[in-house]
Amino acid sequence: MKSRYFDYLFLCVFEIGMLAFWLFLYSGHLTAGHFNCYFDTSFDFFYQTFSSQRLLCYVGNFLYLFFKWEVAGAFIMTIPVLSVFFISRLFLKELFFSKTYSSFAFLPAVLLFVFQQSRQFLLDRSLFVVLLFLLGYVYLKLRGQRKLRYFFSTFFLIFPICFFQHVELALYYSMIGVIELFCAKNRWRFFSFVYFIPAFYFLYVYFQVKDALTNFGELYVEKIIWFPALCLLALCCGCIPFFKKEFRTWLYVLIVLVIAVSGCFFGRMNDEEAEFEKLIRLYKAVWADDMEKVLLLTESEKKEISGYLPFAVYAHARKGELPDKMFDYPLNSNTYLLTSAKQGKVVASTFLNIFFFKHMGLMDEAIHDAFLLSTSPSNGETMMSLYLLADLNIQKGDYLLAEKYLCKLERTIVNKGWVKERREKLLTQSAVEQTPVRADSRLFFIDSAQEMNLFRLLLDNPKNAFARDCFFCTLLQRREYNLFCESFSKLYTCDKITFRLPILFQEALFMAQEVGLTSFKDSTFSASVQIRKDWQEFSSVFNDSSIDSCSKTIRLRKFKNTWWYYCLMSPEKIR
Amino acid sequence: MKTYNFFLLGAVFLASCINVKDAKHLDELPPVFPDYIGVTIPPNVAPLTFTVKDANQVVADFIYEGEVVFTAKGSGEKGVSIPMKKWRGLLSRAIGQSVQVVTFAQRKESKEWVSYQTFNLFVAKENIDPYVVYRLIKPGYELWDLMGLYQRDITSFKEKAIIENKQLASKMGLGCVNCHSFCEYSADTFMYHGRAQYSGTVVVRGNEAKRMNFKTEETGNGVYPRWHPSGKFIAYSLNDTKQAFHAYDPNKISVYDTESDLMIFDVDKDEVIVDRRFFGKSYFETFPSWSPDGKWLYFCRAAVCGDLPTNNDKMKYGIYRIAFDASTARLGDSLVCVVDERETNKSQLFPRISPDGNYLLYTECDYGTFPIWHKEAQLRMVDLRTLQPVDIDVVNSKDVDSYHSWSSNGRWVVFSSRRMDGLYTRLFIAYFGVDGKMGKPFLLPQETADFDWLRMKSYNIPEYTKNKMGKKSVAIERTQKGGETTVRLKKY
Repeated sequence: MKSRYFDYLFLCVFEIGMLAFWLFLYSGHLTAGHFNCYFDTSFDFFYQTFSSQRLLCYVGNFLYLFFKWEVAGAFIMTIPVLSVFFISRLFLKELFFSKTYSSFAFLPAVLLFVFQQSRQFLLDRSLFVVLLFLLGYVYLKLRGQRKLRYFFSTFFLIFPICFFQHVELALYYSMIGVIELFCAKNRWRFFSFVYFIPAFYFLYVYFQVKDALTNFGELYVEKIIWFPALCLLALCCGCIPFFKKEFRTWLYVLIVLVIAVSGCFFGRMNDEEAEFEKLIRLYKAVWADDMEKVLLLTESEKKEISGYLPFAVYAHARKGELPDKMFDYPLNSNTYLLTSAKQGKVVASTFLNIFFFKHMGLMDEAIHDAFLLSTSPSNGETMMSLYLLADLNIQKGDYLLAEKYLCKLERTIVNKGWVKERREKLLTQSAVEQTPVRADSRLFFIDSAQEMNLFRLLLDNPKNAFARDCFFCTLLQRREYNLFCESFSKLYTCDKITFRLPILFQEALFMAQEVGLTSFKDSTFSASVQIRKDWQEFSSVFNDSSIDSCSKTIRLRKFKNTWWYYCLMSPEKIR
Repeated sequence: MKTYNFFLLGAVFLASCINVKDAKHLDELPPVFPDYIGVTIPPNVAPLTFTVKDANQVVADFIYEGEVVFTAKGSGEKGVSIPMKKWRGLLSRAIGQSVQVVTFAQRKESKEWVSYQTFNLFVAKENIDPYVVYRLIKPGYELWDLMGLYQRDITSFKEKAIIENKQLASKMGLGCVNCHSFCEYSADTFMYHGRAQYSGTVVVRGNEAKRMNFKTEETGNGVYPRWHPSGKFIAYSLNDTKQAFHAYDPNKISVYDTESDLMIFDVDKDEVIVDRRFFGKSYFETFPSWSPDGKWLYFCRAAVCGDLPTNNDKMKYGIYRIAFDASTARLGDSLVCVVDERETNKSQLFPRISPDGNYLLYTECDYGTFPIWHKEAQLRMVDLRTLQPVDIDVVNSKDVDSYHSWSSNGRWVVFSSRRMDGLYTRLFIAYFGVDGKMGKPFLLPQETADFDWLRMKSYNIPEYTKNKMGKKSVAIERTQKGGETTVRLKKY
């Protein structure tokens, strides 16, 4: 009684712990599950998923829909773990005819929970483990009844499940065949071949459906190494009391070995998962237009740039404070301010580019990137790409296409409210802010010369503060000083009224005036008194040849967030 | 593929309980989707499933000679579900005549039943080729995921993959398949290109299949193909194609060539034949096409303007033809201009000659070589006997109307169009009468009315075939993954 009480208490704590873990530490993984899934109620989708990935993927995709709500996602993630616990308990009870060892049932459950933390270990894999344990239990239950009808019932019950549920399950199922082959006696041995039929089927599918092969290849680590390891561990733990003393030492060594190897694997995995979690949280924050959160998540970029800088730049630009905050980050001329595409984060870059282009008014380019993003998962359609395409087309004013994506989303069960809200927006939204089409728009291509494209864009729409800040800050960061002054002269004169001149731009322009840079032609510009005063102090120290370079650097440190410091105190010259 | 939904059965059941004869009559034509009002259809086409816009439920009576032959019902989303047997029976009776359709709809908001004016479906005497082959791909065009070549049975709704790129998946990612072409509408003699790891051109003739590598010291991969009617030759253009993405032009992508020449592949001899006249730097030649008798090679040609893509809007292609002698595999001496780009100041592309050899159907756009991304692209026709234009405006829309094919009897034209939503190309079929007049085009029928609306892929390069592909998919895959056949170069 006491043992059971303890089990249930532990189970409650375990469940609460798992929920807390998913909700507070790994909520990004839950969101990623929803973003990357797709499910609709059509027979077509069922047929396609079933024919290439089997039923468990279909069920997995269905459940991922509910990950839209994190609480539901967290709860769903815990169900397979609890199921494994209960089935293992029954399994152990059946095996040892005693409840004493039921506490060992926590072991596979905990292992499954750890597995789930890998984003590669999709929900259908969890369901797969549950099914594996369930079939093991059914087999054990039936095997005791050594009568022909039970063999047949086992075959007719389990084989169709293997066939329709998961191709790979057939492989594990054939393990039972091996056991039967060695353990069964006399005529019963003949029936062990029945268990190999699913394996033959697996081979057939292996050659017919290449997806099965691809998936198998991708997840070979989990399947080939970790599942058998998991099963072995559970088996070893369960069998400890039955082993002879001389073997027990070896058994303990084996358990420690498996745990150690697993620890190393999960240690490595956790770093990757933490990075992924951060990325998804950034996605979510960008999506929700929560710029404070984006800045909070990218705070570390101020110390060392690690690839998330474009997110911080985006957040500052959205808040209209990019010029004021730019030099809070350890920039140099080679830093990619606007895109991280060249820093190896292609998907992140594509995602962020969508929002960059959207706020720049380049809707076609944003939509183009949304299409690129939709090609990254192997199964094509994702909820994220549909959300993005619907929203972008609404903003662009392409109502027909927006309606198409909304219709598609409407079929996904969980998005009826979201679709209704967007439809209302479609009805009420009359004026869409778009960049006007120029006569020479045919010549305007998005290519590597992004700054020049931005300049042309600004000539069309100088009021676009987001694009303006991004453009001028990029020029300053790349030390394109002449181009900065030249462009500024052109754009400043065409929209003087609404321009708030940030301190950074004032510093740059004032320096141009002071040094007599010919590319700056606006004679009406005048910097604030403070900037004039600061420049005088900076230039007097900078030009004083009596001060050695070391003390000069120390004395000029207080200007470290100014353009002058970035421009003159760095070895790179102005282009 | 069946696309029934559980809810459909419920909706049909509910509809059957309502007496639609009491519906309020509206003196207007029904706003049906797809628009099948007044279209001419082949007697062997699959049922024209349609719905009424903003309707909860739809009921349609199909009337022939004043008698209701059958009544079809369905939900507002999926449209009326037409029984295949009854539909076929109706069309076989109505050949050369018309079928009347009376439509009833329950409006979404008011739940009120209304009936509309009767509309006609004209059943032509001539059958359509039973199959159409196309590529399905997302309209992103820079990266892609799942895509493939599919054969659709026009007489039913069955669609079967010929080859899908997931069959060619490798470490280099998913492969790419494109530009299929059939010889004389036969699914037994065809070719397509494969790209990525198993690149090359797969050429299938009956049970014989080979993967060709057209690279020689002067030639590269063949691009736009066309089989000679004899089946002995395939004409190709050799293009170095690039894409540039417009930032906010209504045409999203500018596709252009930096090189574009012609070559002819001798299928029997594994030989590529190059004529120096069409292998130079001053003109771009592309989109070859044969006359039905195989004696003329049609193609598009433009004078080269440097600095592409900036000057792409100055590239105007005209349609030219040159004689071809199949016995010597040589092109003739004189080049004949069929549609002069200097006169139209536009680009004329995809020349396709009607099977009787009397008409030339092509796509016209303002500039460039790739009309599929040109909103202004329209289908145009010329009577080759008089070289006078034929008015076929009835088939065109405000959006892209492009790649087209003639049926083997010359009565049915299939073409791709972005008219439905401005982005995803869909297939439309139009009747071409013996009087030289084109009929109103209709959307390729699908099992449910919303099928094409919700499909997130574009249909590319529709080509008719007379027969079924059969179970060739695995054999084709093996061929593409197998060894490649090299070619000899023959220049004159």
